Amino acid sequence: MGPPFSLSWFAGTLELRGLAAGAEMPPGCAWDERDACHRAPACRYAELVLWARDRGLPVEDRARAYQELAHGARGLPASRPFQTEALNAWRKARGRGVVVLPTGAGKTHVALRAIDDKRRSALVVAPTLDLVRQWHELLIEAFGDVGGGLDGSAGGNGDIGVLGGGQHDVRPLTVATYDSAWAHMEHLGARFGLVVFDEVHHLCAESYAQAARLCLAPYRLGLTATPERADGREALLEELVGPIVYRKEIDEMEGQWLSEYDVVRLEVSLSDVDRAAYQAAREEYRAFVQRSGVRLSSPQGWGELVKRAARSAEGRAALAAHRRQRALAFAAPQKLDELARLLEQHRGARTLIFTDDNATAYGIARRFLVPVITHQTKVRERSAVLKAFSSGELPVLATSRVLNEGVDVPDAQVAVIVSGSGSVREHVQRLGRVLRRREGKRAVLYELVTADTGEAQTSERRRDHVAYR
Amino acid sequence: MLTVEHVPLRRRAGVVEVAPLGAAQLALARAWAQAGLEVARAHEGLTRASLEQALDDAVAAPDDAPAAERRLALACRRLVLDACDFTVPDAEDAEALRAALFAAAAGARASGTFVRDQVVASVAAERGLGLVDVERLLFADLAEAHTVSALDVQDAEELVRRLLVGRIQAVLLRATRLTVTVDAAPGQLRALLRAAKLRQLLFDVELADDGVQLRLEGPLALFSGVTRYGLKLALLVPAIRACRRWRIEAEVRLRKDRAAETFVASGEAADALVDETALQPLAAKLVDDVTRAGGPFSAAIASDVLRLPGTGALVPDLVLTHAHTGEQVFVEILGCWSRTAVWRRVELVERGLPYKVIFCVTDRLRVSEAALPDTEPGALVVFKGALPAARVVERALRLTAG
Repeated sequence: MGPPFSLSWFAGTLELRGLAAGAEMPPGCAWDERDACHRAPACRYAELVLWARDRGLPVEDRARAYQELAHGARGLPASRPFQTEALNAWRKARGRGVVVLPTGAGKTHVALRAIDDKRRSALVVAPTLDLVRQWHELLIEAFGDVGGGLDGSAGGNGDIGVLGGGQHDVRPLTVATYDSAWAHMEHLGARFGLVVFDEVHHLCAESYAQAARLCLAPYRLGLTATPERADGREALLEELVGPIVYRKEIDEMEGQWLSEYDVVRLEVSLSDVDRAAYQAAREEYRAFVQRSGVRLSSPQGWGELVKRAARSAEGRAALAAHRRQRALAFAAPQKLDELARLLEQHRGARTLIFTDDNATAYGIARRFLVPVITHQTKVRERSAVLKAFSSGELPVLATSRVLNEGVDVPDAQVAVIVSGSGSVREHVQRLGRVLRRREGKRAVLYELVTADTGEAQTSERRRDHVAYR
Repeated sequence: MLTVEHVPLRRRAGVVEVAPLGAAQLALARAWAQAGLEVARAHEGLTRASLEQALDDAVAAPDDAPAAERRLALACRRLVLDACDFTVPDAEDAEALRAALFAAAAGARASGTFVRDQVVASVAAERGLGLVDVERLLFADLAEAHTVSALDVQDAEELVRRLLVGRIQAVLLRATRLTVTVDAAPGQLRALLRAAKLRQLLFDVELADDGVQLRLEGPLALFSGVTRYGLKLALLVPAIRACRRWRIEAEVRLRKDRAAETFVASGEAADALVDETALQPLAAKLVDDVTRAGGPFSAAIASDVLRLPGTGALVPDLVLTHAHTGEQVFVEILGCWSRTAVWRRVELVERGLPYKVIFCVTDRLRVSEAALPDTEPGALVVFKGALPAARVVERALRLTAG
């Protein structure tokens, strides 16, 4: 038996001390001259422990700071067959991997089962405060203490922690935003044995990926409906979380597990005045693009154009013209007239209105006197609005992008896309908001598009998914 | 804080520099700072949206101005906004008004009688408001409606100083590692190292011909060039600029393809010594207590950096000097730092520390003094509340006894 070696935590990395001189380099480690120790990113923790165990090296583990949960989940509904399959596939992959299921299919349930299965301190990371709030409620329901015992030591799991939106309360079960996870993981990354990344495609962004690297959790679960990214960085998921262990698409589940749905595209026309303004702005912009010689179809095209435009007054004016023509198309007054008609047609149905920008969302809220949720909406008001939406008290809700993902609005039946980007993912996610199944429900998604403008092409791009075929 | 978009850069011989501000540009910056502050003061009590609009006119370069000048204007505008404190007016009122208005509208819509103006009028009447008030208050809690309440900057000169610091910080936000060479007074060096330690940055110290060279980076930098520590590195700039002479060389990733480049900046003492040089109250009290006790040791603020080859450096707070033998014992006050920091020091001592050092930690860290036996060249003093001078002196005597 060799000398005992110790594993300790330092700011999202693991320090190994006490390895014999000339010993084999442990996996993921490098010698750190700065501190005279071997060092590895925290995410290599499980691998290092197994490596030491395989070699019969006694490890003094000062790094791990997570604990076992006092009790498992209570009152979870029975899993659907595909949820059980997904959980089994994840278990088989040693508790590391990504589950891909369409929105509304119950990914959250798989995660709650996974937490119950491992019974270790767990961190759930979600992209928006609405999702954090939703996860917080779910965890309280499933793992919170009944009738006291909230100190976490007297037989209960304690309160559920929240990190983000101005809160910093870390508990054995905690929910965090991606931003907070990125900011605090170097201090908290040793305190969780399982980390669940909701909407895991976000994790591939350069900075968020570090949150996964700075965490030692040996068990990792990623959830998403749409792992693919335009930048191809989804390949990183295998390293950060694990491989895709289970996948099902919308068309495999429609009818049986998801609501049946229709997608309706409605075209509106600009007024003569707006059309003239649109054409003038578009011509100014296109003339500059032509003169610049930049190929906009190339991956770097847009970035290059912006760079060149910034160098001259003419370029800056052209970009302003581009923004103007886009605004005319995306927020055409005729769309709001069409929206008024749809609200009347679906009176009483739970309706979500999506826009590309906050200004349009607030404009709709003002004109139709419907609640609006954007990144500026405070948590308390968000909760109240979503609750009123759920109960039918306020059946229409406007939002820009913050409700695109994950937030559970089970009764939503109608979605109206007033404007959006060309992103396939965004469009699929927005459709997903109305797909949660309920007896007798048939969902409908309306897409309002201004005819004969660049928006028509944007619309074509975002419909490139099996859900729209 | 400024970002790299606010800073004109130049690339020469493979090196990136912040384009220097000439006399004319400095004068422009002063003028914009002055104009911006006047606008901000005039907007106290008014909305952020109106302030931003006024700043667009008051702190702006002409359309045909060179890019560097436009960036300078944007930087000044940013710094003015950063210097403003904003108040959220009537957030509760706005929220309550929305709740009432949306509920009334939903009710009217459900019964097929929705007419916007009628709903607004009925809610306005219920709440004793005019129609205009309802429209104004409806989203009065949004950021653009927040009102300017105060300014935390004295004058235009101070804003220009912030500009000079901010220009370097903006680039360092994208830094992966930083090498600083400083000619510094001990207090300045201690402040710099303390600032680095405080931010859990790792560093190597080398003595160079022209001062001390510090290589600073985050722990993860060993594996990849990450900009995660950029903010922490940027926050060292005031402490660096406080040194007599300084030179920064940093690996930065400014380009879209994130290719590594070298950024350099240098200068001479420009800023007043930063607050971090101030002696901790605990240390100041310990100096007083040891002096008052009149024992064999005299206590003074330490001015040395204890270089530990291969393991970094220690920056002690105090040095105790034996009146007869001249032997020195250093004191580092860790207070309630992490247990990890304590164990790192225990390990340093166990590996053979070439100095005698007492580490003072609070009992909240649950560390036993027995972790360092008497045979070692270091000792632990665990304290609760005030630092016990008698025990520190007793430990120092033990360390110097043999």
